[in-house]
Amino acid sequence: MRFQGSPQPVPYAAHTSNRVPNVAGYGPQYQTFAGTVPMHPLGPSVPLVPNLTAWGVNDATAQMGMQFGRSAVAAGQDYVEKNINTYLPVSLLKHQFNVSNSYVLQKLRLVIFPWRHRPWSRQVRKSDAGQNEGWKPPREDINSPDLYIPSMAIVTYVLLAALHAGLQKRFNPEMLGVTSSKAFGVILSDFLIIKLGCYALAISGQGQVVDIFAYSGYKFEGIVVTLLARLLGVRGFLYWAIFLYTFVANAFFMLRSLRYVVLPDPTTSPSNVSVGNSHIVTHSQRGQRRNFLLFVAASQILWMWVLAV
Amino acid sequence: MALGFGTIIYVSLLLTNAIAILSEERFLAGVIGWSTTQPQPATYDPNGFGEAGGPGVKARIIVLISAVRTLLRMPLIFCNLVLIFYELILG
Repeated sequence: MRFQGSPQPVPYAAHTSNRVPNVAGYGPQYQTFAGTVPMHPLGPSVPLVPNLTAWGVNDATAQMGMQFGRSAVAAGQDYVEKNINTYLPVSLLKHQFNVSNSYVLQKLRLVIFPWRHRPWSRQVRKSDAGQNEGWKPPREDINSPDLYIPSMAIVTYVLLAALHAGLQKRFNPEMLGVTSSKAFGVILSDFLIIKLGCYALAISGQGQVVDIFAYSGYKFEGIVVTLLARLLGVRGFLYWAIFLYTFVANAFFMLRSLRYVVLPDPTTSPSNVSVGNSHIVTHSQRGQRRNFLLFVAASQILWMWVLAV
Repeated sequence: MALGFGTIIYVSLLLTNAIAILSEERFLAGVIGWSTTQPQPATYDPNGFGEAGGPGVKARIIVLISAVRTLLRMPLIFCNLVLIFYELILG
């Protein structure tokens, strides 16, 4: 009975040593996760120990093993948390992914059809004392950028490009990597150029790295629409018309959205996002920044052309 | 060599190399008007009430170039070595 190789599934009625019914159906065939101890009728003070007598381990040893495992997993979780917090701005990412269904639908419609939207400024979240403490999350503010739509759009773009190649009988699995590398290359180049321009023009860059990634990811939605048109068989003039329309819509969306980033308005920004290096932006500087904004919006067509063709 | 993540790495490394090996007296002083001893007129005033608009685009780019040259020389040597070994050994 002791050494049977892997323990055979014991029928539930044979668990005569445990009169308390095991909540999760513990038995020798189940592994336990030390970090998640489910509640059972005796309360949390009595740890739930699996019945390991089939493996030749009596109760005391099993309890010690459980304790050891539990503390090991807790230590591992602490280590991971400490290191993740230094490499990834987790709270910032959580803010970007805090979206709701209605937000996603409205934002998708906004990127394709931004002409009639009226207020483009981001809203500030006020704490109870009336202090500004950061932007409102995307759930409550349609103008806030998010990372959910761009990441979904990139994945959709890679899959659609693969589908398109498969329909033309020129698919091989390597092109999935090539296409995603091309998408990341475009995003990285876009980000570098915008960051360089922001540095040259002394535009403040606090907490804006993730926002730049979000804004440069919105063009993938237009590219997905263009690819869908191509998959449906649209060719020639109409295809290029759709491509140009999505580019113009995306450029307009970027112009309106980035206007408040590049030409910040000190009265409506939260206090933890600094507003430029000096609060005086001269007229020539405003002209420079506006030209930079136009250049960024116009350069999107280069990226969209690289991706869509 | 199509646009991709590796291409961006190569291009940025080559461009940074180009910035690092520019000759100061022949190129930067004459053409761009570079001056490492240029006095900065009260642009470090933390209140921002100094010269309105700060140092200006050209001055900031010059600061960026000089920072790249001083800071990135050593890491650039290392990155170039890594890339050379990669190209030699792994094709």
